[in-house]
Amino acid sequence: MDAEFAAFVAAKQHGLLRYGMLLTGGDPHTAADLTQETFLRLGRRWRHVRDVEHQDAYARRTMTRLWWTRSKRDRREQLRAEPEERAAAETGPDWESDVWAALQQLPPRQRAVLVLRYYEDCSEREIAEVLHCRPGTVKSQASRGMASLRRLMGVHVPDQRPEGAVGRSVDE
Amino acid sequence: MSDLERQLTAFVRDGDVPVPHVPDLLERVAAGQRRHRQRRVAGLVAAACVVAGLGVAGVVLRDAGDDRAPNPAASPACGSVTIQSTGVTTPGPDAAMAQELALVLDGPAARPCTLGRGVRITVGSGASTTSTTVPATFTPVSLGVGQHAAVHATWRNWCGEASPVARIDFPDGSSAEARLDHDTPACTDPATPSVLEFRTAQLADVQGGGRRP
Repeated sequence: MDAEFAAFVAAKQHGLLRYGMLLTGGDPHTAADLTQETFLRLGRRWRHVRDVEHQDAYARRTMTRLWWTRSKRDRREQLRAEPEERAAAETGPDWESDVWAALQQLPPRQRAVLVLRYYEDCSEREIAEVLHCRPGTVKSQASRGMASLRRLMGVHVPDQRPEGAVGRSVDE
Repeated sequence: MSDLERQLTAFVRDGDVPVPHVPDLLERVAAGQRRHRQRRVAGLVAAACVVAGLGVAGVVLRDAGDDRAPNPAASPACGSVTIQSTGVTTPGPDAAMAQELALVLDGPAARPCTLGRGVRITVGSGASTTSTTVPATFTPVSLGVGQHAAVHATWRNWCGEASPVARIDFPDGSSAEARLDHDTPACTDPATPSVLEFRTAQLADVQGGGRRP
């Protein structure tokens, strides 16, 4: 392995593993597999990746794309961690626990869209480009995800935004 | 941005998310890279084998194709025989007498063509057609490559077209034809068919004469 790439893996693995946990809803094994696959993808294009300005964002988008493809392939598969593993990790403030618990209960594709949206501050169009899907798909997944989050977190006050609009719209 | 969105943003960016401890991640990535390289090499080898196989198959098929290519030895022996010249002569001063039709043939290109039983000579078309066949009693003549032969037949009472076509059909299915000039036998009895009778066929030294079709 290229020494520079090895240093890159060592430096970025914690952040990518954490991002993988967000995507998978707390499945450590799948998060580790996703992180490994992401590094392999980056390694194959290392001559290009080494010159990318925002390597972290590039890596996260690569991982999100892998997760999106994987979740499409295995829609029936439950890729969430066992409740016991999650309970042991819930050490933050109460609201963090609520958000984390709600995120873990979302379907994989809705969670992927929301994580990418709020981690990277991407528009629906940008997310669609990353995931190679239609903006309408992103919009519907995000809308359903936010509705589920509100329901799971007991948020009864509706947003002031029109139905279906999440974060920045396509035209922003 | 709503409170929920703010909370979500704060959590995904900085929230307390449990991170699994994967001490061997570097080794796993390195092993994955090695496997990828091995698969790529195997794929290249497989592709090379496929290309080589296709090449071999192509050579084999091309050779087989050559076997199926037209082979002069397999074509009809008389297929390339042509009528070099024709002639209609009057043996005597009496116009009512039979005239003699002569067809000079150019030899075949590959194999000898036998002029013998079954060879048929036809003159004219439609209702005025007349023909004759080489009888079984005639000793066949082998027309070799580059040789010439003259086929003679007596012909009388032609009431058909002015310049009929003479045609020779060989038993192997091939044929040759040429148009005759105006020297045709006189029409002595329109009610009686024209008569054409094979007389002989022999190899010939062609030194001009006759008429080229």
